[in-house]
Amino acid sequence: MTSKVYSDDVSLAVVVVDTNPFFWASAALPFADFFAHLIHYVNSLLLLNHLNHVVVIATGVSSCTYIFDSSDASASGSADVAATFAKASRKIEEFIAQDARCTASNGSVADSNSASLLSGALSLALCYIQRVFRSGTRHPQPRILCLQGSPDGPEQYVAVMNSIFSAQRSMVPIDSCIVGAQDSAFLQQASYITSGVYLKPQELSGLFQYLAAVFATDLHSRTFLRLPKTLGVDFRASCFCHKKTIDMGYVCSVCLSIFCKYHKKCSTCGSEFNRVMPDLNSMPDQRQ
Amino acid sequence: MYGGGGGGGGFNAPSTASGRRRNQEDEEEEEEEAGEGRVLEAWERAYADDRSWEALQEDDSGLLRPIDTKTLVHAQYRRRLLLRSAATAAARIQKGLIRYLYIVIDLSRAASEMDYRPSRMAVVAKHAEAFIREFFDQNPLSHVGIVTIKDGICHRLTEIGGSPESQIKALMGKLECSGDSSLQNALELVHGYLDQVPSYGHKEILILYSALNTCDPGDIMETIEKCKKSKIRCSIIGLAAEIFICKHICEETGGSYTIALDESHFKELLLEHAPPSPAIAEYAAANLIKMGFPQRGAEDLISICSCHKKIKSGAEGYICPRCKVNVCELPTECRTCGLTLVSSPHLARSYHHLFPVQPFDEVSSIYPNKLGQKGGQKCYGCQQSFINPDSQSSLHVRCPKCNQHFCLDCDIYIHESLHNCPGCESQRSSSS
Amino acid sequence: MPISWSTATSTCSTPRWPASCPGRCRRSVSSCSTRHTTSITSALRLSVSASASRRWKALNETCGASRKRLIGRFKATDANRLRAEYNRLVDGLAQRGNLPISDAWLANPALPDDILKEAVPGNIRRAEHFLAVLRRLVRFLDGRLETETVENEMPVSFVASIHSQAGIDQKMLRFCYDRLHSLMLTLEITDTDEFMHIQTICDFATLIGTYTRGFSIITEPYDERMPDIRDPVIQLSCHDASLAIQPVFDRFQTVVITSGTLSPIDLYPRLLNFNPVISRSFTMSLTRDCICPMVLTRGSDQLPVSTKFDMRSDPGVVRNYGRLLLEMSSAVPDGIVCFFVSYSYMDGIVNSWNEMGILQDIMQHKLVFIETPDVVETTLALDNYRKACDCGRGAIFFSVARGKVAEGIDFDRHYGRLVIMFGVPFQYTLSRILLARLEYLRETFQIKEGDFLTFDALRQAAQCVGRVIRSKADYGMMIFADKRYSRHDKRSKLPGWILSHLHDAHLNLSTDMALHIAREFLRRMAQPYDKMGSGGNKTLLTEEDLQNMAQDAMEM
Repeated sequence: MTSKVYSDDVSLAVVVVDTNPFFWASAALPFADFFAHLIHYVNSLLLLNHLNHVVVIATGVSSCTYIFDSSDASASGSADVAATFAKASRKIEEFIAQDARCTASNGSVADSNSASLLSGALSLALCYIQRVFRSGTRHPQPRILCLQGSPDGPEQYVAVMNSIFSAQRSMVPIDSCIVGAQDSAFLQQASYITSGVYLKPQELSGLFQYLAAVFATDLHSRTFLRLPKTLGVDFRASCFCHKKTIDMGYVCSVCLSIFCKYHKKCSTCGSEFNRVMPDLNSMPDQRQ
Repeated sequence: MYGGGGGGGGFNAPSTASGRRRNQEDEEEEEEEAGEGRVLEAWERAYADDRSWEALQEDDSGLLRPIDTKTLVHAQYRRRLLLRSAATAAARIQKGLIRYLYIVIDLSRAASEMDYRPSRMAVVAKHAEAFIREFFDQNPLSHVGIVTIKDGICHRLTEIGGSPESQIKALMGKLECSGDSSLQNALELVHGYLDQVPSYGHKEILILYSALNTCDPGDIMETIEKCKKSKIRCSIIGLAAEIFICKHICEETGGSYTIALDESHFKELLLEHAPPSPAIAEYAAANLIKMGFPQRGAEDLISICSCHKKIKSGAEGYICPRCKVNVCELPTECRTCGLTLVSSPHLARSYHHLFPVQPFDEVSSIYPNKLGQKGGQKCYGCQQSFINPDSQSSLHVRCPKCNQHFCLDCDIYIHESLHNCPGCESQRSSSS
Repeated sequence: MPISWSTATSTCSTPRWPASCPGRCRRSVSSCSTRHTTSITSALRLSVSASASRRWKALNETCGASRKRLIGRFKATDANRLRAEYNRLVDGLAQRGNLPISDAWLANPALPDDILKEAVPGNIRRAEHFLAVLRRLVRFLDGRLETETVENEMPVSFVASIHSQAGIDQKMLRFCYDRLHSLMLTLEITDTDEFMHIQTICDFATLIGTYTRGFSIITEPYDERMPDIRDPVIQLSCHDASLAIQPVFDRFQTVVITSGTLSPIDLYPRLLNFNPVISRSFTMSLTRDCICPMVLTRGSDQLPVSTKFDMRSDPGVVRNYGRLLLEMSSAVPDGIVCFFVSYSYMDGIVNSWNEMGILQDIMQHKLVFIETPDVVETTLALDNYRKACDCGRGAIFFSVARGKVAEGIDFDRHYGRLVIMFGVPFQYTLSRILLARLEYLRETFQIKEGDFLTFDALRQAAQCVGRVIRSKADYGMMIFADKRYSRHDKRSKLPGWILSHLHDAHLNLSTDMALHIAREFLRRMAQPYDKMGSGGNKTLLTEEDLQNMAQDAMEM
């Protein structure tokens, strides 16, 4: 891989920003401040190396879109903070408005527990990274940073896992910075599997400092830094019938759905199970 | 590195096939004399293997341009994809997700031929390693074993196991070729091993065959019948030419028989066997398999791991939920109580086989832009413009569900690796 | 032994292409492969050959006690029967003109139109007289056999000498067959085998009495190959192929002559003496080049190879041929067929290969089977060859260019992936019959001997290599292993379907080049075959397609 990059420390950072209005409405940190932290972070990345490349993708409740691309012709030349700020904030305002319109017209139930479309944003990020890989033998080293506040949406589980495995295949680390109240199991798994950094800062008012200290360094330099280590990631599965976490269960051999106790028929694929599996211990299964 | 004879591989006049062959033979002799250390330089490889001068064509103004293989590759890929999705959509055919696969490697004297560089056997071993990794990537709950044929007799190289490392280690060891090859012996041996496999697993054999004949001790038709009865699916990849008996075996057992044209084609054919093929539902019984989802142990827990018998900290391994023994890696079978131990990402890796992305439709031009159609100028996924520098609108595709447009490369990436359509994922469906 | 030509049902080397359809209307359409109607083989079937040993036996028989005894007995006990027999003979001749068409008329060696519808000549009406005539004829032939030199004469002069020396005139000769046939019926002789030889003589007599042109009688005192052993033979050989096909044209309204080896096509109407209504030559529509003919002129050591008479025993040539076969057997799967120019050549070269150890090396890759002149052995060999190909062991079949296998057996699909024609299969040019035929052709049709021989040899070669392809989904390679094939005058006589696939890059190959081409070809052909074809026009039609096409044609 080393022969493929410009030099060791050129990076492509794709920042996935959560703009879920339901979350930001009741968040501790106001969105405008958060956005300012983000822009400063983007600018500092661009200043670290003139070949660095930054892309910002916004994740809404009903849609996702590209907000900012540092390689756009119009943004070349001037690393003017004000210009970047103005342009980006204009774009994101438009996006949030459009997203709100989409949500209203959709008519779907949305409340403070709604998830943002993390899987969509990750997919877009990975497609963009693939394009950069195709551009030639010399390209920056890519990574993804997710700034997430909304809770995880269980319906996105399969899609998020697909993105994670694809990122792992392409050797793209997914870093996570949680700006919300609770941890995100998806992003914990993502960062663990792809060897990224997972962080939940305690003081959100100093967000920029966290971003600059932990997430701004390129991949090569990370080996020399002492970055926050992830504590144990819970890889236990949830059963399909009760959504409870279990550490021993039954798996359908056809569709791999997980059940906590023995069923005659699989509810996902409809296969009938012919015989009882001889169980070594007749004790009830351990639940958490 | 730049030995005295190094220039021999360089500027050959490719006038006659024999001329080229003779020069290659000289090269090989030099390589053998110089010892195993000498490897073709990259620039030499480009001349010897790639023959890049053949991939040129004239454009309208008479200038030489490299052949535009992109649309060709994409067309081939689309054909494959449509075939695959047609097969699955046709009937309620399930995919065999828990596979027990034996790879049979032919180490007869035909495998030492040098028409693949450096020899057929080396190429096979190299790509088999890549295949095993890919296989476990796509089928985390499956098992692989390796069998070799040499001097007409078959040996089991590795036992069937659920982790790639032991298989790959055996492959990287020294492999020698000699003697005849025997298909019947291979099938008999593997049949014996696969009989011991649990009934919910799909039994498969993949034979990488270099020889052009088979010297069997008995009637191979009987063996084929036996395999058919045990529902073993046998596929063969040939390196030389089409042999009737191989075709017969594959037809009878429901496998596929393909011949490789050259090294890259061989790799492609081999990797095609990694994703699970549409399996006949009756081939494997549907069963509920008891599995455990272990957690990592506590930091301060010191114990001896059951696989290597070494002292390990609890945090470095996993604890079996049933017998509380320390295991080093997942997925595995607990040595003490026999429980299959997996983590949820392993199962999640196979989910995309059950929910594949629909093939995209082709769109040939972006003009005229119909009203109400989203997208058009740029690829939704990677933001690349569809309009070429010579202002010809290139071919691109459209997802039938979300109507977003994607470029050809994103199309391939989405279907082969990502298994998510960015457009569909970026839309909130009305029912979650 | 009924002497008759046969409407050949042997298969041609490629799917049949109609070449000519003349005719009147009657009940059926006859389609035949031209090989047998024009080749010397069929003409020879109109020929009769009688060797000395048989002469003696025949003489014995006619003078033999058995016959005379029988006749004597009958004469004594049943004079009526003989009278009835005589009547039957007279009636029979008259009746014959009204007989419904059946194949019984094939029994008489002469053509139906030429059978005299006349009364039997007086001097053979009685059985004893007939026997006496036969005895005189046999004695005359015997005298002829004692000649020391080779003689070649026309039937006219032969008949004249019979007349002068044995006192048998032409008309009597013509009736010999009928007379004998009738006699045997009367005497209720069921065991015709015993009288086979006398039947031969009667056939001979009838033929020379009936025809004056297109035949020649050759007397050879000894076989060319064994000049010390006296083995006299009288041969009546027919050179005119149009005689053989005449009944077919007369009997059927539409005759379609198709073959894959009908080149040059304008020669056939002249040889068979008819005017074709349509004469067409078609090419094959293929989606991929499923045949790969190659002309191999030298071995890996660049020495030229050939089966030319002076080069045959050259050890270098033998070794090169052996190495060619060895290399090919290691690169080609399943079955390989090899054709040699003659049995003696095949014997010699296989022996040499055995001594050189090449045969053992070949047998490591594939099993070897050989055709012999014995039918049972050859059938067994073929059967085992097929079994070996089916089970994956691989096999090679050695055969001869003008043998039974070359003319009848198909080696399609995996039974023949490669066919090697070792040398150019010229006919044995010192055979008298061949020389006589060549002379006839030169005088009548102005065809040069060299041209005819070359044309015949190449047609035979094409026939051999065509054994390998039987359908469009099939594929196979053909190697013409002789330096003479690279010459334009020889190569151009190959049929069109071979020439169209014979690229310039495949001419003048050496063994290693051929091996390389073979490997590439096999790999390419092993890829899945798209029956639809790239252009969307189908090249393999189903029955439905044919019906649709017929309907379209009718509407137009």
